[in-house]
Amino acid sequence: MSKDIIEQVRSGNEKAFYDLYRTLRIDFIDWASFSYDISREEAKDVYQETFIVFWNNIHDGKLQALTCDAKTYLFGIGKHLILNLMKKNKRSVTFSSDEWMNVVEQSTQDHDDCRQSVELCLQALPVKDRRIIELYYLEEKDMKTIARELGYKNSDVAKKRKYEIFRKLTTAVRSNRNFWKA
Amino acid sequence: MQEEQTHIEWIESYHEGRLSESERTDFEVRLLFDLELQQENDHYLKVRKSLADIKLQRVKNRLNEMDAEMDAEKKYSSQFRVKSILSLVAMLAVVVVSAWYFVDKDSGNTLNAEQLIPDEFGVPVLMSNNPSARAFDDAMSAFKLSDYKLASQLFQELIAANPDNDTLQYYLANSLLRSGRIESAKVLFIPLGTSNSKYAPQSRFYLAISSYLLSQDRSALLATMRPISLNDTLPMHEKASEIVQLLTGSQ
Repeated sequence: MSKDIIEQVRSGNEKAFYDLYRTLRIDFIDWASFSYDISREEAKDVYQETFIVFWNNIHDGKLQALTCDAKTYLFGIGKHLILNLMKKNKRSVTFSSDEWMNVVEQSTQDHDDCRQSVELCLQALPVKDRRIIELYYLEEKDMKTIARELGYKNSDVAKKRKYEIFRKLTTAVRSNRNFWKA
Repeated sequence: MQEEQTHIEWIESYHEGRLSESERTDFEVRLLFDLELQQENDHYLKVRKSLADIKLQRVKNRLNEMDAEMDAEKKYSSQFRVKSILSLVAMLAVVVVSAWYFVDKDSGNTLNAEQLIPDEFGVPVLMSNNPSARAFDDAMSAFKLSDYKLASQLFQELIAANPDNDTLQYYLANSLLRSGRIESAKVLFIPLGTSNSKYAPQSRFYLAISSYLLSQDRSALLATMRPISLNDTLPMHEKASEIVQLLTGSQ
């Protein structure tokens, strides 16, 4: 099952990932709030974060295979995140440098502008064009599957079209000054 | 255009690890000197990073939706459990009260609010989607859900904008009575009971109930309830008959 999940998530089939999220949630929240000094609400947040880390590890290629079952692995990540949270809760930090804060805020703002701009331009694309970008970059489908799903003659035609659309998307995004000022 | 597209293909192949060792070296060398390629590469990475963020955000949104669904399911099942327990308690209470009534029905002579106040089902609402209809719907929904404290507050807000609306006054008075603010309810039932409102008969009924709850004057309550119980065209006729029976049966 663990191996299946990694392969399925990597190939863009997310059902197993969401099923696992649903299955382990109550156990995790009970375990976390009972074993550590955190509230159930905090445990819920940590649970979601655990799955985001799991997701990222699969997509970044950091996690190729599990040597234990998925529950043990996920509870291990959760434990690590809970300990960090407890440390953070105990620590009281005072920022005295406004300048430093401004840098952080500006950087976050630029990043948000950038994402927002891409999202807007993506939504503005015709449906079929948007789907080719979503299928490849967001759902990580291979070109053969994309060609079949969107009705292209073969994967080479679909690939050529994907580059055209990506170019179109980049051009549209480039016209947004907020994005390129970063 | 064609060249730019080739650039993108080249850049993507580089970042997705699809170039051979020599092709990689070519790309890296070209990147050092070709300003246009540098710019294209920079743009490519920004868009890819944003797409990765969008992807992650979609996963987070899905997980949030699942959290909300699962929390709602849990809340519903615990509410169902609580309702089951409450039903059992209510049944037990009915048995105990009935037993007490039949064994020693003369021992108590005070009627309480639960015995006196009938069910009130409210009125159907939301006939349009304008803000005032929606506000009325909210207030009436709170009333129907027995959240009389909230209903009182919402009806009060509506009355501030429509001070002469008898429906709002009637349901505010009812909400106040049902939330234990009997004195305030009585103050509202007095003018309604003497007005030409369609709620006048019901208001007189509730006025008598409010007065009794404040004074425990059984004869005054009986004096109001008896004529209502004898006239089956009046609203609250059945409840009035029941109250008369309670009053005369326990005397």
